[in-house]
Amino acid sequence: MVEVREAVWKRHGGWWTHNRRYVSFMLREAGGSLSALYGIILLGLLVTYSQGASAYANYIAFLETPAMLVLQAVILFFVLAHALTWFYLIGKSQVVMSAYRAPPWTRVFGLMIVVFLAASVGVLYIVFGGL
Amino acid sequence: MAGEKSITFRVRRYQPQGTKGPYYQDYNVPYRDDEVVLDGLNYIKDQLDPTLTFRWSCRMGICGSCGMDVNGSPKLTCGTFIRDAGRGGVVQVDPLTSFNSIKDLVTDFDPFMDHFAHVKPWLIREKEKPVAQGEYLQYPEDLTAYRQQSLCINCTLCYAACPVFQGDDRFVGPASLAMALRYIRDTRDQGAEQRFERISTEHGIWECTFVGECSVVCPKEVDPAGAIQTLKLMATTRRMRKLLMPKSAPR
Repeated sequence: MVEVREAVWKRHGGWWTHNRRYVSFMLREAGGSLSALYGIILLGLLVTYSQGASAYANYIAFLETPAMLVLQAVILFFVLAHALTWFYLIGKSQVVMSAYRAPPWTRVFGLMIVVFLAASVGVLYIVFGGL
Repeated sequence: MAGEKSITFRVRRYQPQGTKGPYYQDYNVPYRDDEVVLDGLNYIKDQLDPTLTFRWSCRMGICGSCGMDVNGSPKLTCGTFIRDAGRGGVVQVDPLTSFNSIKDLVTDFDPFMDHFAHVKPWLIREKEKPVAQGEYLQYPEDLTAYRQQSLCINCTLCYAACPVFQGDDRFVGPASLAMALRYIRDTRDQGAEQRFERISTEHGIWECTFVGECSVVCPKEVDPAGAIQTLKLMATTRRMRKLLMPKSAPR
């Protein structure tokens, strides 16, 4: 039997930058990691709160420094990208089946946006003195 | 093929018996607006360079043989018009990525066939009933449940588009997993347990990160990405059911 010599054929490095859907995927994945980072930042609030008023105030002041504000703005962008690209995919994953049919992804996407906005408004209402 | 316009076909060549590795070769190809990339390749083969090697058969998007990378995207060349593919006056044609090239645009299909067979793409019965008792009947809605996945033509465009398979060829892959769902959803089949043992694994459904590009490039709208997410949900449900209700029916 003759051994066939094959040529390995892979995409070049950075290939994903030429396709907006791949870029969207990479943003989504990066957004997931940054969401975890923001979770750690929020946990810092709890830790410093348990250490007393002074430690908590210092931590708040640290979060209000220009560098931290920029970091939080970047995290916000990625988290929003993460959320929106996931909403876009949820309807396409077709895990919600009704009589062997999945609802149109556009309907699921719209529903997720509505729920996202409603939850955001609810959180803002609680944070800014509604309760 | 005597069109008024012409375009450059930049084709990736590879001769296994040669001393040099893969390289690109340019061909000037006349074309009309109603001609597809496969027509251009056949023009090269017939008129310019008979040594160019590629697969094709039906010319109507049924056989799945003529899948290639056209300007970096996995396409059926019989369904891609030259007028649409010509980017900057050049149509670049490569073999499908993720699979090794045997010669020119022909890729090695064996790794795909291994993954495909891994999911047992056939009806499994615990006990076959005698032929004299007739066929296994289904209602139309039973067919609807798996029809979408059954449309797969094994063109492997989805494998070429999958960055997970690109990085790890142990991943069972989109078309094979979609075919697993096709049989699991078939009311005549009783092999779901056997298939989940094979696909609910590190290199099975759980390796998929849901990029979704496999569904974008699929020429038959099989939606492998959706199929894999459905399998993930089914596998999780079955696992929880075994834990919480071990005496319940497996299906």
